[in-house]
Amino acid sequence: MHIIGQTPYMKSDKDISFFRLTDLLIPLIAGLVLLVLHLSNSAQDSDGLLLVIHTAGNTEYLPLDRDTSFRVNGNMGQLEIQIDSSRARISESPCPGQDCVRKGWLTSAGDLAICIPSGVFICIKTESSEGESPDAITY
Amino acid sequence: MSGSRKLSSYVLMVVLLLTILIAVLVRAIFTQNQPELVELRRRTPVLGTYATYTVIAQEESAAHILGEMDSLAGHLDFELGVFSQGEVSLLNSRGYACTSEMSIDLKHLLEVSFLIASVTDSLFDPSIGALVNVWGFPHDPHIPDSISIENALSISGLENLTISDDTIRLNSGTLLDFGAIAKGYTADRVYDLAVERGANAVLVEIGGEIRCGGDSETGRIWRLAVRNPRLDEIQEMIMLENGAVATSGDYESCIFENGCRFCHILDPRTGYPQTGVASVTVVAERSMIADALATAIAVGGTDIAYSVPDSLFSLIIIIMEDEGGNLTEWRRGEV
Repeated sequence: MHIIGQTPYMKSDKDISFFRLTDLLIPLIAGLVLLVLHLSNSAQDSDGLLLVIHTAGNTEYLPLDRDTSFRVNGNMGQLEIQIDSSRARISESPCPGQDCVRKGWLTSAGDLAICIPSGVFICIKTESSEGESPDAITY
Repeated sequence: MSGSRKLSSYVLMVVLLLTILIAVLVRAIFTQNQPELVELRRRTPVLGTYATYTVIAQEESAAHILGEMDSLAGHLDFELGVFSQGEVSLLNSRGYACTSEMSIDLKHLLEVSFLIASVTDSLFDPSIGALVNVWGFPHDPHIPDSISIENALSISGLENLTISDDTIRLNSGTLLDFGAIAKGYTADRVYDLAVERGANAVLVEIGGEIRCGGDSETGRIWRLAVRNPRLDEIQEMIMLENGAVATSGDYESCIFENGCRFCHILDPRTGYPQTGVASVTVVAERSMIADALATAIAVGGTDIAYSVPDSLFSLIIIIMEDEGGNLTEWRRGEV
């Protein structure tokens, strides 16, 4: 006799015991493993972007995946450059126009902010993958 | 029986997953406790050219190390240059210096210069400053008359240098010019400083002269490109974990007249620029050795390259050019 609304495998106590609460342990642990793996990998990932800072006759390259702020010397005094959440900007400048500060955050390769009075500009570039470009050229 | 087998496989699976979880957690904690290494690069003018410093070091010290490298290179540029008022310039203008007052850098440069001169039949010669001036390298290169060249040659050569217990003396008119070794020497000194200050891996490139290295933990293999002397492209790639590479080429700072190339690499035997060698690349342990050998071999060609003791280098590549402009490659050793 078929009982409406009740599926056949729920007929006996033995079948119902298949759904014991402790059975959740395996997917729970597996989930935890995946979560920890994801967190541990994402902590080491680099997005491959560099911030290039050109000052008078000097060029520096900084990875864009490390939040920091620092000051560089320009023709009119010091500028503050900020890296935050894989973005970069000139946050302070002694220049009168403040165009470089108003430029705001640079987020993608090719974005640049220029402070002409200070002789400073920053831009984002993609870090060439290993295997393609040399670390240095002898000439 | 079937129930107990199911239970044991269930326990086994839980134990396995727990083991993986613990392993991953331990790894994550270990990684977190490891000092954070960053790679920073700086490109800056020095020694009449550009230098690029690459440093892999702990985050809190990397920028400071770069700053110190920059300062040291600037200091050596001033002291060893012939256009500043530093130690070498003063020695040239006074004609003498007291050895007790001489810097370690100048003493070391002189020692290495005498060594390389001795193994290259004096084709590397830092006492040809007067000859370099006559040709006007690097600021005002021009072809001088033969009498000026002969006069300059007569006061060139390390025999015009007298070193006694307390004094180094130059014959009248003799001028030292460490242009063929200063970039390599500075690269070595700057590299050593960075390592001393705790950098895990370092690459210093000054005007194409390279010194690089790193610890086994970093395991960085540096990719160093050798420029094709006639085309703006890479001739070959050298992979180096620790060591130095230097190149002397006839394409840098040269004069063209009547279809002839007069390069900045002067032959101390004739007083004229070398011909026939388009470029020489030397791989050695130290950049100053590679730099000086590259210059001497650019002058002496394969004859000198054959005679250089193999303890001084690991690889020599010579690109020769015949009168028809055809290039041929010659090499000795390997990396």
